[in-house]
Amino acid sequence: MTRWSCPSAGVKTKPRMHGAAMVDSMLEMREVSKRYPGVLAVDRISLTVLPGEVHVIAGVNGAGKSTLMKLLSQVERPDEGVVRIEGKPVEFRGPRFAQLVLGVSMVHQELALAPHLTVAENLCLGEESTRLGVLSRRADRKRARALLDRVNLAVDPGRLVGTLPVADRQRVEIAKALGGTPRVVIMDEPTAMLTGAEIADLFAVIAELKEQGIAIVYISHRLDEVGHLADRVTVLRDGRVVQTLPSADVSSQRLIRLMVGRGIDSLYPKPAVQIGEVLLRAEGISRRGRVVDLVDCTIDVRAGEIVGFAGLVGAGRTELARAVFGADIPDAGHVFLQGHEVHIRSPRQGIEAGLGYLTEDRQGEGLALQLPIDQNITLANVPLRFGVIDLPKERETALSWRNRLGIRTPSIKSPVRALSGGNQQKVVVAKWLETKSQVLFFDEPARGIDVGAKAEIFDLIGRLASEGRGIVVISSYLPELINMCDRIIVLRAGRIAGELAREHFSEERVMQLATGSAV
Amino acid sequence: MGSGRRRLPLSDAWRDRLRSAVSQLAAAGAVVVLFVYLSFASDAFLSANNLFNIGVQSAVVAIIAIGMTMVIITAGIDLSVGSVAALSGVLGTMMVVEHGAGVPLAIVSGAVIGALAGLVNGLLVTQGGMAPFIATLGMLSVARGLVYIVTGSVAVAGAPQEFKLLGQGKLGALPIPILALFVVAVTGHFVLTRTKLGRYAYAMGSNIEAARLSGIPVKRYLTIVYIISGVLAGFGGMIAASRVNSGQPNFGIGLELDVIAATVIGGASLFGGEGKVIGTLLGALLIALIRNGSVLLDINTFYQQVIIGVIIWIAVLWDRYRRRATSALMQA
Repeated sequence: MTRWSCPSAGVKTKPRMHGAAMVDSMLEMREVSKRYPGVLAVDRISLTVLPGEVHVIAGVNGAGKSTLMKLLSQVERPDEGVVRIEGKPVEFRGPRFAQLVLGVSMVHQELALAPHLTVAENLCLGEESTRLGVLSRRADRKRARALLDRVNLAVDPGRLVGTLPVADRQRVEIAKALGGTPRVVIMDEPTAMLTGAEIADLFAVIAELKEQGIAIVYISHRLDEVGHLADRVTVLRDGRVVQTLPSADVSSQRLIRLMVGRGIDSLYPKPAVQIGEVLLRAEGISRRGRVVDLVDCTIDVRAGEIVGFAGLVGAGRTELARAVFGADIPDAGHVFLQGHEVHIRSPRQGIEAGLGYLTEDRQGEGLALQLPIDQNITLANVPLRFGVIDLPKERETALSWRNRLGIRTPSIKSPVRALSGGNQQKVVVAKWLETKSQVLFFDEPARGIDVGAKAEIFDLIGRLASEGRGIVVISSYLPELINMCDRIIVLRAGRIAGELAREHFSEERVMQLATGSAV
Repeated sequence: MGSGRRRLPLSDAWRDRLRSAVSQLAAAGAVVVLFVYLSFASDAFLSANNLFNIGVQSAVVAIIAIGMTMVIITAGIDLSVGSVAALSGVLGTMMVVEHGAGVPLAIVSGAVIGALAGLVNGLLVTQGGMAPFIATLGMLSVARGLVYIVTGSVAVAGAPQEFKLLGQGKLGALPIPILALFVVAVTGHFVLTRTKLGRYAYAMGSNIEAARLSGIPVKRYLTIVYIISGVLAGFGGMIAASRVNSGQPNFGIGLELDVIAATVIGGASLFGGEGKVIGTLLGALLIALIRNGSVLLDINTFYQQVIIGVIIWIAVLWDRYRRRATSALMQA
């Protein structure tokens, strides 16, 4: 006996009809507000999303995007205002009600799947088919299969989610959002973890959902996606709607101005720097890894140079940076700093040799979130006086970095988790500069930070290079590398696939090397 | 953040400090309320004798809880403290009774035995890759088993008069256990706030991978933290043995619960990264007040256990509520 069938998965949804008349809006918000203690996070927002429309919500961090999404998916209750689905005002009864009854569901940015369960178990979680009170695995698989078909994912529903690549996991997440009768699917930065080809696949899936009349509410920091994908864009700032406009009318420059409230000259301010001698040379680095084996990788980084690591997810970019830095110990290879061989067996030794590594996952690996800003800045190099922490010195150090890097915070005693993504990134940078790192690895430095802060971080990277440091930038987003770097090293399946000098940069060339396709 | 709020006339730095001390302030509030209540409810409560008694009763729990605070700050836990305290107490007493060792040597041996147990805990966690809960649960059983093996489950009695000094002696009017607690607390606070070890404890508890990538030798420092917990458990065990002038094989069964309760009531987070010595002291004091008050007001002792459990819930719920309020603010 099935209760709710996780369900109607097989049934193709048509553009919804209401009585005889076409409904003109799928989702409508009128004067919706949400207040948190001390903050009006969403301030009388009104928004209309049409059936089959991709509606991008843009805005810097703190603009109210996430809160708005929580209100829509009924994770949080609005304080004021009305939400209508297909013209009918809806009650507030929580996320399960939103998905199963209203057909409003959310695809989370941090994938919200249980890695130890199978694809089918995840898809039917909470809605398991039962026969005489016993779980029916077969029925669940069948339903899962139908949902997976809708997102073009040919994966066996019996596989464990934890073993799937990120792109597939995300597809599963989208499939999960399509359970019930989907009307509105909310996607929170779905491309943040994907590479070029995977993004194209995702867009194809989105196009198909559009065909079926589903409305897509799409949050993104990547402005070029707006043009590719969106029908309309709504820009939020400080919890209010700045403007809703057809995406055909928007240039990136204009969008940035609307989001930030001021103009930004250039997203990628790259200063002209005299490139000096080789600072870092890593020779023949090999390491057996869980995701990918590094094989005989050799790289040089010169003073003042910004080197990019490009490649698909799983090509070994992060792994190579970690092996050189000492976060993982390579099986073979030599590392030289300014011509002298160093033996790095731990992050500590990497730091002593003059390396710094800014992790991809700031919150998970880079920062002690509960600790205050000053303690995070000095973490790798605590100032001591007679063996005791020198608090005045620590304070002075932190204040000076706050001023130099423009970390926006009322106090250096605030916990780091209170800062925005961009300011957190600056704290990490300050930590490494405090260790006098000569060569810095930036792993996805702009991930999850908003466009204004992004420009600042790249400006900072440029300045660090112009001060004679060697910089390595790892990024899945090619425009970042192409604009910022002097040289791009492309990895493929754990090997160096090729190197491009700045005059030979093009997205096509990088992708050819990254995928190994013929010219 | 906080723009629309009524603001105290304080600098931002002070406001952050206050915010991070909210749990400790709550514990202090509870102590004050209970203290005032008991001084009205019972005539015997406010006597110097009774107050010192409360201090002495809470000293053993508090000393061990200071070690536990460090462990919990690293996001670990040490379930073995009760058994280790008993092992130290019993072996230390045996040193005096059976081998004629001097009292100071016996105290040092008790601490060393605790250190060894802590070292094993630390190595199991850092080298063996065990969850602290499991590693120390094993030690809880192993140490208790050793106690019964060496004593044959019979109390070690017959210690000389000097042996009582640590637990029953006074310096002027001040009972020595309270003095010992004072020294341990001041040292503990200093270590946590002004030394690398303390700083790294918070950093490891907040984010172990960030700590490792910042060049902190995390295995070494984690091991040291478990050793400190063991030393303080051993020292606490010696004080307890000295108070009854014998090594009791059944001492400290369930003691870890009071110790963890004191730490959690004092605002330490079992998820790591948070905790203060002053909070733990208040937590231990609160528990001692409840026990003392129950006796004075003639409340059935079984209720004490229930009351303490409820207070742990309240402390943790309060902590969760506080966290939710702040994180909602952050995500807005």
